[in-house]
Amino acid sequence: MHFETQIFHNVHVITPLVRRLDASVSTKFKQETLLRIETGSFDLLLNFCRVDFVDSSCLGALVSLLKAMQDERELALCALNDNIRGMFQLTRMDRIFTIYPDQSSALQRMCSCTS
Amino acid sequence: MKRDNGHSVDSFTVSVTIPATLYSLTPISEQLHLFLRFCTGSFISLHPEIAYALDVALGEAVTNIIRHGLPQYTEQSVEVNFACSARQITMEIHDQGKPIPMILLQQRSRQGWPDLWQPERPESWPEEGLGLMLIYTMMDKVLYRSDPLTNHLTLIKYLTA
Repeated sequence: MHFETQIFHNVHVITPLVRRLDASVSTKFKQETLLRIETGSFDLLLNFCRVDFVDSSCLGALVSLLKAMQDERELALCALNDNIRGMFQLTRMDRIFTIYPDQSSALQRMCSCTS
Repeated sequence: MKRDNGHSVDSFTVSVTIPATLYSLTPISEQLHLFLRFCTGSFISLHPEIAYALDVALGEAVTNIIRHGLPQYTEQSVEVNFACSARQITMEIHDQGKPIPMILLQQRSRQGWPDLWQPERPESWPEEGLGLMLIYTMMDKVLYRSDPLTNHLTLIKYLTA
């Protein structure tokens, strides 16, 4: 599984380069992202612009990542398509994750909060 | 692919067998969308939300079988039958693994999301165990039976209100 990583001030943006974040890749996605979380002190923005499908294992992986963020570090998501956003609303995950429409609006908010 | 009726296409069925591995999730999803494209081109209209719900439910069902039903490192397969009529889309999933515990099915069929976890209680945030709940939420009808050789899961999505 491949990611694209960009760094803006104290925010690391990780873009999974995969169309489907399902059980076949979610463990690897979680492990690789957890490794980054544990070795840094940055806020994390997961950009889902390349993802058009998620399943319950992806939602579970995201919850694990959220729990791993400590010391008031922020984990946010952006660029969810309508179906994925619907999944978050259905499962009520939208109540625990900060979700931005796109990367620029997320960075505008997250970078100003950390400066 | 076969037609129920050799002359007028008002219903349609397809049977697909996949290796019981998580790498089959993408191919079976592609088969579903191929099937739906044929159905929508022929005799039904389908909202993208319904296609996504079917994709999620099918993926969760197959993932459950592979992760919890079948022993690892054995060559097994899962059979999926798609059927479409003007009224509903049906997905039947057959496997020879360990059956889903009936008590779990009964629980999930009755529960709502607030029963499963609460946003205000971080200790309840679920890192797993959402799959069956998603199936029950996204499908209109879920049937399950298990005979000595095979488990049969039937997922139905109605196309009309």
